[in-house]
Amino acid sequence: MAAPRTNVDEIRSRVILGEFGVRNVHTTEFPGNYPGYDDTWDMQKFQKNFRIDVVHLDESSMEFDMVGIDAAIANAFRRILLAEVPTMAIEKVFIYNNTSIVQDEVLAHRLGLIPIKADPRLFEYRNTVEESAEEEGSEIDTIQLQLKIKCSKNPRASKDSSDPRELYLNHMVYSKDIRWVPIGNQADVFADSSIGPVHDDILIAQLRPGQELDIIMHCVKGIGKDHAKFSPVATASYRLLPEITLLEPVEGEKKELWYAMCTSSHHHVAALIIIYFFAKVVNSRLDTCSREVLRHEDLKNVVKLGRVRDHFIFTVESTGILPPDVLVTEAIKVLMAKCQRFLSELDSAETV
Amino acid sequence: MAGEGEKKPVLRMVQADAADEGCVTFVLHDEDHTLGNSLRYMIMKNVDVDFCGYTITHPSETKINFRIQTRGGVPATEPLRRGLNELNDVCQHVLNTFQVMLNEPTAHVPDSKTTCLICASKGLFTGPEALHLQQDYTVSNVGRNAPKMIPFFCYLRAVADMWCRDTLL
Repeated sequence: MAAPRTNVDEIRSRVILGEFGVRNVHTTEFPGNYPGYDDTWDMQKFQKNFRIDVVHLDESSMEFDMVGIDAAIANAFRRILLAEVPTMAIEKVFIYNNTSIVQDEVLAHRLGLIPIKADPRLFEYRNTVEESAEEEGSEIDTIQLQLKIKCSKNPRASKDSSDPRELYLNHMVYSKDIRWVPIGNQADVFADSSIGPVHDDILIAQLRPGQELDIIMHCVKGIGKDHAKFSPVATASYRLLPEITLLEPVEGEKKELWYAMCTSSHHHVAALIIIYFFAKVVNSRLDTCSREVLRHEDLKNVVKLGRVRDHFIFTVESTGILPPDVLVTEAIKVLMAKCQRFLSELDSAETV
Repeated sequence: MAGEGEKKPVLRMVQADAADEGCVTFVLHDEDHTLGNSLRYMIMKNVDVDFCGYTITHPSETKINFRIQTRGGVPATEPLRRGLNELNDVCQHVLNTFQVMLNEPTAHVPDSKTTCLICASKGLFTGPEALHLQQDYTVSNVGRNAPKMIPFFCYLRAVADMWCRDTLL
């Protein structure tokens, strides 16, 4: 049995889920707040306690635990993943012909949101000064794409058919119809990485015979802060590790009640298993923190629900442009770049 | 392009009292809560710092006012510099740890024997006396770090495995 935590330790390390509210939400471990605790920054202590466990990783999503870090920094990583890791996206759309029913501006917006598979680390940001001079993009900062498609009647369709799929050719415009037009030496540089939409089956517009699209697009490097289309993740979030502590043995009727509560599919409250002769917590990680258990008079004084303040369960889902582990790596590098930017600037700062 | 107008400012220092170097508001341009809050945390961990806080001046302005007040006449630039350095070191350590975990071959191999979250927890097998096993459990965590199963409990695991798949997952 683990040694019981003192009250102060609990305040410092756990967020408590009470019946009517959440307690100990904020970080309070700063020097001077707790007599007897040394809360000054200690790099050795941090390195000793910090750990990452990769729980799941595939090409589009990952889950990992980041333990032993403050919410301020974990949240910085999350915010950077959402808004500051750069990607390539369609920024300029030159519509030479659009006779479809989709208006030009709506079409341009739809095109902008299509994820483009191209490694943003191999490109530069397009210079804003150059842009105002309306200069053409170059091979180092621009990807050119083309969408040229015309709908026509299918000559081989049977006379009595009413199915548009049979009647027409090219009546559905998908992202797979977008073609990459290499600029300069791009054809050689990116020969083995096919640049183009991540997904082939995004419906862009529907056409009818005679309607056509003739569009040139320029992709540039950008960040999600500027426009959500540059965001490299479908979602990136974290939650704190739930913790369930039984304060006394749960036996007899209480056990039955809890068992019923846990196994009903609606209340996925506590990951609890009845084994041996009484209930015990098996995996609090699965707890949804719905606090359902606190609604039962019999049970609410038996259990303590909390969350471990420095245990972050990160979930990162990529849009498919970069693998999720690369995104996390890039996010950490972005925060380091921010520090470096101000460190170098600190020496030359002017006082007002 | 070189020489096209003045470069945008990155960092400015505002001192109400020019003689007091310990009370300074730093204006960090193009920053928000991302750097503001994490840097504030690092700087507040410094004993020399009396106060540290930041505000976003206006939703449509992309800058933050970052205030530092120090104790004992330490210039406010010192905790800022130290905070930035420490935040940088923290990131470096997180990055190194993350890359080590990715390169470890067993780290992310989906294996039902070790990654079944419920069965991998040692809580199931430590006997009825371990009521407060949560603390142990959160330290040892799940998956890769799970302790080696004792063969005697294998059948228990199989039962629990089925149970949790049917009921909990």
